[in-house]
Amino acid sequence: MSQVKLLEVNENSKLFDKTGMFFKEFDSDFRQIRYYTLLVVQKAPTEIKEINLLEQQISEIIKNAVKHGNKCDLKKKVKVWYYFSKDKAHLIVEDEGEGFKDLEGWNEFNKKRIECFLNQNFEEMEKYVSYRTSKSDDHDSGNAMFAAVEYWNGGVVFNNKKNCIAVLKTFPKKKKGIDMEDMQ
Amino acid sequence: MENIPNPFLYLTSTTLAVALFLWLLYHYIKKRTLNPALKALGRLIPLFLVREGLASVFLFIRAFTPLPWAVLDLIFFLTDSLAILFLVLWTAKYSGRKAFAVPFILINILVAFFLGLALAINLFPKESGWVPRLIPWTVLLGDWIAFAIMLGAITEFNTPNSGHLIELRARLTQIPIAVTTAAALLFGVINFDYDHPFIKYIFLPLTYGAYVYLFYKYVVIHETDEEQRIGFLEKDINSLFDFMSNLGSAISEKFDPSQVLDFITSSVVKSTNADAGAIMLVDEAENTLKVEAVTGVFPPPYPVPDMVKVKIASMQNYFKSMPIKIGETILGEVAKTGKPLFIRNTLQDERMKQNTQNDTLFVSSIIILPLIVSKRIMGVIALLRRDRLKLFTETDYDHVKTFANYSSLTLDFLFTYLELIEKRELERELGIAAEIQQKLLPRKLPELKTATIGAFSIPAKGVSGDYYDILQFTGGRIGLVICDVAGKGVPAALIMVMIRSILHLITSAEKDAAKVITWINRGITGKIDIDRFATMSFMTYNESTGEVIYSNAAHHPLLIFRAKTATLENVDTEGLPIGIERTAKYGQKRIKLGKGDVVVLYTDGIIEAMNQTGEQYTYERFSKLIQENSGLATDEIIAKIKADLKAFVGPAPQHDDQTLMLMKVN
Repeated sequence: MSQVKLLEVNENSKLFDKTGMFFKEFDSDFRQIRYYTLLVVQKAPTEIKEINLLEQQISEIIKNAVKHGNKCDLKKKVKVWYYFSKDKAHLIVEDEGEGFKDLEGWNEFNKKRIECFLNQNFEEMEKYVSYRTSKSDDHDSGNAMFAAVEYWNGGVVFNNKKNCIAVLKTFPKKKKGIDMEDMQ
Repeated sequence: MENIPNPFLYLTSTTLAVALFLWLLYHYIKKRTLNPALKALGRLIPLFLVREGLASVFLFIRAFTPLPWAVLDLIFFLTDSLAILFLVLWTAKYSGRKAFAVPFILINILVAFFLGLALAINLFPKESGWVPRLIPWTVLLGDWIAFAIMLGAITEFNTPNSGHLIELRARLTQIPIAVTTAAALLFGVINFDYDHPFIKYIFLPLTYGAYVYLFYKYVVIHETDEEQRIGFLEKDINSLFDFMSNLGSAISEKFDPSQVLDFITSSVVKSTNADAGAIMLVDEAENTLKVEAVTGVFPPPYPVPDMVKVKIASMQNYFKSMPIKIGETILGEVAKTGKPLFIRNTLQDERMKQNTQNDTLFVSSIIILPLIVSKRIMGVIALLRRDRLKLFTETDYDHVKTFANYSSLTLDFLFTYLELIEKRELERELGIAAEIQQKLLPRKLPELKTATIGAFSIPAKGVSGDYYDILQFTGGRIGLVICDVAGKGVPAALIMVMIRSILHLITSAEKDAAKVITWINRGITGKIDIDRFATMSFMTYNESTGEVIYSNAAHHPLLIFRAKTATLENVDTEGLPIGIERTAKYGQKRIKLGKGDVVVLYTDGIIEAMNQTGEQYTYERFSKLIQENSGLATDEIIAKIKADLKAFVGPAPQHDDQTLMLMKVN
């Protein structure tokens, strides 16, 4: 937590490289988000599913695209590219909406939130529990992306239009102990 | 005596025999002990042999030609000086106190040189009285006394491994001092000659007393060492056997790593008489050491906040709850380097400064060992004593090493086993699911009059999320269903069972494809707690009319090859996947098939099959293949598809289940 993790905007990020990724296109049907998520996540090896943490995180990103991007407009599509292996999860989600306009605002908000945490200023922190905009409704918890920037340790990157998000998580090799040769 | 010259008497003089005996003794010891100090002592032997040889030659010659006794004085004096020099060198090596040895040797060489010169020119003839003849013996006596003082300065604290030396030093100096004093009296005052029987047979051999004693002691030390070693080995092996059998039963009783770790810690503490012990394991993700088991009061061997020191309980809690960064503190250091650490006395180590005050943190002696299995550091085990009078010994240290070795192997075994069990359970679940699924798939495809049906389903990892079935109705109609359940394992298999049961139940009464799917959706949605979804295509085929009724729940559209026009058609109907909404509505279409037409139902796994370079098989390649091979018989088309898929994917792993049903109208 020492370093504040930000949402990045970089169309040329290598996270947008779709080579070798699976692709699916979905209608912006809010009811089907769980299903879409399951379709995507079933390609992941059991080792990285971590009960259903991976599923939750993917679901949040698809939900953002369906709800905040395409405003649940059934005529608009959500495109998902995904690839999983035992040591990484890579996901790109693109919607047909106008993009995450207030990305800078979110970054600023998150920075203040973490500062409050680091300074143990919990009274002030109450203000930064939930990120809300004029378009937020009661179903939006306003904190999904806080978890996302922590979870997707390989980066959370948007394209210039901010309607396409690429995320990457790497999983450490699960092996007991530390290698003696590594330590030299 | 001078008038009976018997040269043989001189040659077989007792002293030579004693020197030879010493030589044999030395070689006996050398074979049995690896003590490096003995090698330094070995230099004395040739010196004695040379001395006795020269003395014998002198006495032999003297039987025929009168030579002055001073020559023999010279031989004895020089060899004795050299012997002391060797001894000083030897002890200097032992004690590491070279500062004393250097001036001693320098002065000695100088004195020996001048005295030797004086003796050689017979400066102190027998006739000149007793005072000058006393001089060489007094010098030797002085040397021995100086040597005795040097040895006396050696203590356990300034000299490592000084035990033997301290034990030996009294005799080692007493005998030579006594002998030299006697020599001064006999030769100088009483004025005896060397060929006096008392001198020849009793006194001269006596001069070897100290060395015989020294070598004899080495034999004894070697024997006791051996005994101790065997004793230690026996004790070690016995307690290790106990430990192994107890650990074995602990593991088989409860496969709980924390209990096993507790057991290891308490056993090692008990068998080494330690006051406390702890095991810390490496947390790879955090790059820290986590305290996993503690026996006794274990003060952290690193500085802690003052508040923590006040109470033992809070100090213990602090130690247990604070992970240690790899490389930091002496514990982290051992985990980083993999090198064991033994601080016998905490007062002598700067790193243990915080543990030397008389407070809750007090530690007198500590052993830290890495737990290593096949070059991987799993963690560390640490043992400590909190009693100033009871420090760990080298034996304890060796003892703990054996335990640490065995413990790391056991832990490695335990973790591997737990991983295996976890995997097994997963595999068992998948095994059950696969078994259920196998029973769901149609065992035999029906034989129709006007069409032939073929199908295959290749699961990606033993268990499939795909399901297909063929139902036979009365009146020459059949139903084909293909289904792709999201997810895998038992829950997915359960969905398949539900779909299949509902399907078999309603298709006897309900002929309408859309209604069949609607019923299935209604039956499944909201019925089970966990969200489960499936895409599904259902079609019926009427053998006599060639009519297909098709309904789709968000599955891939029905692929039809029209033989007449040699074109491909995709037939789709509206509908959500099964399991999303209870009230979802499904459309249906009626299609008439002609001779040679081919209909194909398939799942994602086929068109999304990926090769090693990450390219996908694609619908285009798939449909083209069907188009090109539509003239072949059903079995042959299926064989072509399988072969082409295999050729495309190559050695790449299969990501998804591949299922296909194909029907060709005769």
